[in-house]
Amino acid sequence: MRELALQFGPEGALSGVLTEAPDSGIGVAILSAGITHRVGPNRLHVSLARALSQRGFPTLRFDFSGVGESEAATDQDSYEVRTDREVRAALDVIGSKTGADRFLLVGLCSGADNALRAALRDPRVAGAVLIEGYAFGSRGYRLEYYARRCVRPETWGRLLYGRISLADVAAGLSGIRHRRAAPASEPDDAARFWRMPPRERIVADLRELARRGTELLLVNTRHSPSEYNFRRIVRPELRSEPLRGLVETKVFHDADHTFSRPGMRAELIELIADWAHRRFGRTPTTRAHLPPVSALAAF
Amino acid sequence: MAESFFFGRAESPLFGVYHAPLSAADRDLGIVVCAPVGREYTKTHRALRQLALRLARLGFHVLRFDYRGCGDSSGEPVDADLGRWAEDVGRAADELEDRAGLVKVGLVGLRLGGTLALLAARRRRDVEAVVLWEPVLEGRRHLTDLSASNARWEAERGLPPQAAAPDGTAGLHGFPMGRLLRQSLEQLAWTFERRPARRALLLRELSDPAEDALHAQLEKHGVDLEVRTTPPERFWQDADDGNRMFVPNASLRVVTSWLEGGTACEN
Repeated sequence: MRELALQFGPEGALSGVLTEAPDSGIGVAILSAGITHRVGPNRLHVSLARALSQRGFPTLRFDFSGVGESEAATDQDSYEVRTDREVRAALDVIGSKTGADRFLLVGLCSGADNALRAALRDPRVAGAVLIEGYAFGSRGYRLEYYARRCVRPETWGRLLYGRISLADVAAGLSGIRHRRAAPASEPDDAARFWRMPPRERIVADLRELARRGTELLLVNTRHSPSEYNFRRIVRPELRSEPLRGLVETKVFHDADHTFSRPGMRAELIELIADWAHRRFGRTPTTRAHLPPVSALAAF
Repeated sequence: MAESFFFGRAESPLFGVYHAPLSAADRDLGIVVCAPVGREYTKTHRALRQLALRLARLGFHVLRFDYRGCGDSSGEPVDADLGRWAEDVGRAADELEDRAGLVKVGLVGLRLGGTLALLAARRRRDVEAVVLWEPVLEGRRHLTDLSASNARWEAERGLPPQAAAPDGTAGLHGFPMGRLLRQSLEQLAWTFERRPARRALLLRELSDPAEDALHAQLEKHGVDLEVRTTPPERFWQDADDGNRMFVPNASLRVVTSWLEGGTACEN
């Protein structure tokens, strides 16, 4: 397995690492999440890239502009416009280096949101893995969120020193202040980093991808609003056309948002590598002939 | 613009980023930046990149890199120990000297990176300066502190306690710490057979009893040691996961001016 450090995009301002693979029909791009650079939380993206490479998929992990090793953007475009363009640049460089002409996108958290939007706008995307993506916190989630914070000693310290507003907590519990969705008609705002789209748009986006035949793997954990969102919004849609058969789902009940437990991380990597191989693999290799992912991702 | 590349042995390549000098001043000292490991690596990535950019603007050749099993480099952390990582620091120093045509280096290490910088300097004769920025000086205490903070961190996430794997590997803040690394930390001791560097800067928030043994060793070998106190930043252990990365400007200024003050440059 060979890895190449790449600088690509306009003026070579974007930085990534390509893990090569012998079969180059389909390439994979792993998008950086938030301000964590492309290595991913606890090297999740590194281990995943290497596991996918072993399944025959050349895989690029890269930093969006202003993150990790990539240069800061110099344009005035909105966050969405810029990240879409940077995903296209990533797919272009995978194609030019490996010959791949179809692609899978993988993203965690904001990386999942960016992957979903880029998949809609680039017909070369044949599949996407969305890990802990868009989330609407339900009341159950909000109760658990505040209950978890109640066990932190620093929470009580902040409360004692007046740094926590009880009015804010009440508003949060009622859902007034919790990741409120943007109106469907609201235009993109160049000054805004991130805003939740309305749930109707998410469902419409998933239907559009399904209509195009794009396959999806949705991964959620119990510890984020995503799972509640997934249960309430997405699951009913999956039982009917056009999504039926194109979307696989998995909920990790014992994992946290960034899969910080090494064992959970290994399970996630195995899940994604196996999904990619079953759905898109060209090589006749069977899982029995592949090294266990645990060998790549610690214990 | 910085250049990313892999270097070192073909069977275990290391990822590096070279920052060429960005000013007319072309200094005769290359700087190797030694990062922390585990969760601290992620939390300090932005700060150390900023450090490299600022040093490059002052005319230094700078190399940042990832140890084996860390970041973008090859390997797995469970196979690592302090000795192997100190070897990696040496490879990075060799790479920078070859690339920039230099004969001496400075090593700047943050947290465990400071420890590794000093361990690497012990094995070389070309280290002009060492910056020990909140270094880990006592391995056993570091392990105890990590375990305690990890227990709090996991409780906050609602993760149940988990025993170490049969091979001794334990997850600490998501980082799989193997038996070899744990043993090497337990055996960490500060003795030098000769001078590890001409001068050294110890940068820390609070004095540490473990400093005394280090001071004695460095003074014994004639190292010009300066000790500076930083503001209480502790940016490497910021509790907020992923959503904040602090750049410690005051400490960065101390490091860059100290390095700048002791080097010659050709304009």
